[in-house]
Amino acid sequence: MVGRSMGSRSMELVEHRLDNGLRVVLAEDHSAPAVAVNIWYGVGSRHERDGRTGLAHLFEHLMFEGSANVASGEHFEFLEAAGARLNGTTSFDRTNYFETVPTGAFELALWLEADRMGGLLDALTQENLDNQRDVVKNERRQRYDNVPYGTAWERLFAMAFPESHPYHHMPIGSMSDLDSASLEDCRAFFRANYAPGNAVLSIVGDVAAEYALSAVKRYFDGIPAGPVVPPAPDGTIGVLDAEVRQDVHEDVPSESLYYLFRLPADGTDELEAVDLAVRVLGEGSSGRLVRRLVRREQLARMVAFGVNRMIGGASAATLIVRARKGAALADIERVIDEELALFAADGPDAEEVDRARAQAERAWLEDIETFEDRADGFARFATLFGDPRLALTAIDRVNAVTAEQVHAAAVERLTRSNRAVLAYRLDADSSSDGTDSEARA
Amino acid sequence: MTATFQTRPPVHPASQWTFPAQQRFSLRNGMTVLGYHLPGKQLIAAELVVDVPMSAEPAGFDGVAQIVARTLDEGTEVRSAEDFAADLERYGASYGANAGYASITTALDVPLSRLTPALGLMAEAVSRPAFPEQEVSRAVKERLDGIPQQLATPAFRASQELRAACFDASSRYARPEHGAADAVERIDRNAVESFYRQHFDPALATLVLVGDLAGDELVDASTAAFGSWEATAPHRIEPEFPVESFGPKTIVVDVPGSVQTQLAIGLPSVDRRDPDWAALSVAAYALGGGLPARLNALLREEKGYTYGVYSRFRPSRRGGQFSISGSVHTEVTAAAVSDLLDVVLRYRAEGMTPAERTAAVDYLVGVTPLQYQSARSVADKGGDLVSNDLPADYVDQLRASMSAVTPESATAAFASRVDPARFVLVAVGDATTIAGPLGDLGLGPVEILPAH
Repeated sequence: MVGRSMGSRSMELVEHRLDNGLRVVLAEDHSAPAVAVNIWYGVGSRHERDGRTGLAHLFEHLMFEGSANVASGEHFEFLEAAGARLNGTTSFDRTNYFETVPTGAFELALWLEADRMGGLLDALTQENLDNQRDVVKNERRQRYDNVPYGTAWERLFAMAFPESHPYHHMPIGSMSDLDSASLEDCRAFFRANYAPGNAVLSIVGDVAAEYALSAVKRYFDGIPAGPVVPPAPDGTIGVLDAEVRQDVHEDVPSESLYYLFRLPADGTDELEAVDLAVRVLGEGSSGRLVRRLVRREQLARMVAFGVNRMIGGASAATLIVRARKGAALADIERVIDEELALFAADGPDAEEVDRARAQAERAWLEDIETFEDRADGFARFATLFGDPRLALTAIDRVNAVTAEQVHAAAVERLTRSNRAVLAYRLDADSSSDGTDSEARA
Repeated sequence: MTATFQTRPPVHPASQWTFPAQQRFSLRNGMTVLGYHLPGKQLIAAELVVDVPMSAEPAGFDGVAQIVARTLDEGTEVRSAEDFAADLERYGASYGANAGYASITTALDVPLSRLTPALGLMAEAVSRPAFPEQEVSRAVKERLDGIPQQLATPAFRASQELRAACFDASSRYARPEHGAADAVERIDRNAVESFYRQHFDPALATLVLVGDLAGDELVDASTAAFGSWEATAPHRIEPEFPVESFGPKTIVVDVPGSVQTQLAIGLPSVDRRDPDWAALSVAAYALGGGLPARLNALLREEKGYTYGVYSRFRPSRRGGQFSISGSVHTEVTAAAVSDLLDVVLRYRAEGMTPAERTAAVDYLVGVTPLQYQSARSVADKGGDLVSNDLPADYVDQLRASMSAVTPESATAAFASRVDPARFVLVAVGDATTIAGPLGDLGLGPVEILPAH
């Protein structure tokens, strides 16, 4: 079973905390002449307040525009010239910045990260803000507003979580809130959230741990501890009392259904159990929903069911179905409800659970294979759960789940009431019980 | 409380690196096996390349290669489609197949502990497919349903229209990769089986196997899985050179109400066997490879027109294209295109600067070792080299050639291959707003196509 593939288990992690609060995780791996550097800041869209959605993501952009000793554009220039690849991402729960560099550029990466952690405000100007705001608005257009189903997630999360809930809005934010963001908003955001004490620095690769740690101290010790970061808003929320529905009439290529089920937060046994239930129901070619909808009844061209793990009091399971031409969404919904009811009644069989575990194991092996993915995993578990080593034992938590627990989790969470359902319809006359929305403007 | 900072540290020279060594041998049935031993990599990546260029499809049957690829695992002589999927997934494996312009490939990723049975399943799909009637029919219908999805995605549509405009319709490369509806509708079980029988043979197949496997283990694993695949009479098709067509011409695909215009601008160009390939790669990178490059520096960072515009040479197995692509806010479409063309013209006229050459070469050479940490990335590249008739040491050769590129050689190669006066411009967006202003730019006659 799992035990054989465990060269990776013997990975040694070194952990340290600087006086200014910065947490550091280091793991040596000399199998490639490279080092992955990854910083997670504990701020995401869930920390944003009303009227200022999109600020965390906009700020991520601003972090690349220069700092105390780095002119605008130099961050990318210096790293690319060193043969590095780099980027940043913002999600509901956190913002991260990462670069994988050839070994010889390790200290350059540390220098750049330290300079912007400690000295970003020196370079934060109205011009940079205005420029990046335009870039982000184009990003929103490109990824959300100019593609079929582009606003599906935005609508779905808004339906599934109340307006005041941290997960109600997407990290991209709204155009009007982006327009409202002022330079002072950005400064305040930086001071409050980009403190060393709110960050985890994760390093994996071709560096000796002792040397790497001394280098980290050299570059980051000079950054003063920031203010104590206020606790994140409490997003603890249970199941939906009743299904929420919305129809969208748009000129889309295929009628489609999007479902969101509210789940427990990441880090709970119950979420591990639901994750397996979702795999049994909707993963690969053998998932129950795929078999019925795609193979046997040919009502759907594609079925995708997955879990979005979040830690702000809830997670989400999302199901997307693209209808075959001529198939009725009502028929697809009926099949889904039948399968959920069957699963709730009988639970999974042993073979299905084995299959789901085997797929989870491969996915976990993929997650720890490259330096960058491993560094990201360590940063994630350190930031969200306080222990980077949990990245190496994630598969154990999957394997500890029993078929009974999978069954029980599905009974609780994958129900007809605990969900938001978004339907894309072509025929203006047909609709479900939900309110219609306006066509894309 | 201010921070204290260090001075910028130097970057130390990179150590020597070469692409993993290849172990090559043949099975008795003529199949080639290429092994790459990566110690410690417990997730094995396998890639099987069958040398069938898409031009091998019979006239009027565009898309049959993809249906064949798609249904290899949908029922074999030994087990049903559902059983195949369940068995494969039980091993924790992931499998996929695809027909590309260059070749047909199947890919498998599986933990080492389950390699034997999973590789056996992959071999079973490739050597003993049953092509059940109902699975072929379903695959055809799914493809037909998938076409509108592709056409409604602006980036896909722009790229497809650019290819169609840059090559004569008689060339397979000009036409949609997995077939347009009128051709796909014709595909039935007979067509699928006939194509398979004519073109699948171990002598035309190469298995790339990557991970913590070497020597005897490699030979044993590949022989056990593929050794019984019977050779027939291989019917190798020579890949075609697509017939080129240059601009200037402008094509607008009308999607009313679009908030952005998706651009694909370019012309026919070379494949990777061209002696200037290294110089062209460097030139394209400095022009539009990343955020610091000329195109993004102006259009994204300075003017805020776009989330990103990039230039690339896109090689096929024979020939290829040069293209600049990205999407811009609808309102600034003509201004963005005008600025974009100015950038290219200046680049040709002034040439690349020494600083640009250094930055581009340092990046392209330096980043390469970082891209091959996983078995899958090595398998993909190994398969890519086989599919495109490139030598085993291509990656190392390219790095060496790029290191030797000068600003002059890059500029000369670029100028000789990329003349904006011969560009084809494709814009997917709101024609009412953009067609007139784009026409005013004088890039040839403007043709407006409907979205559907």
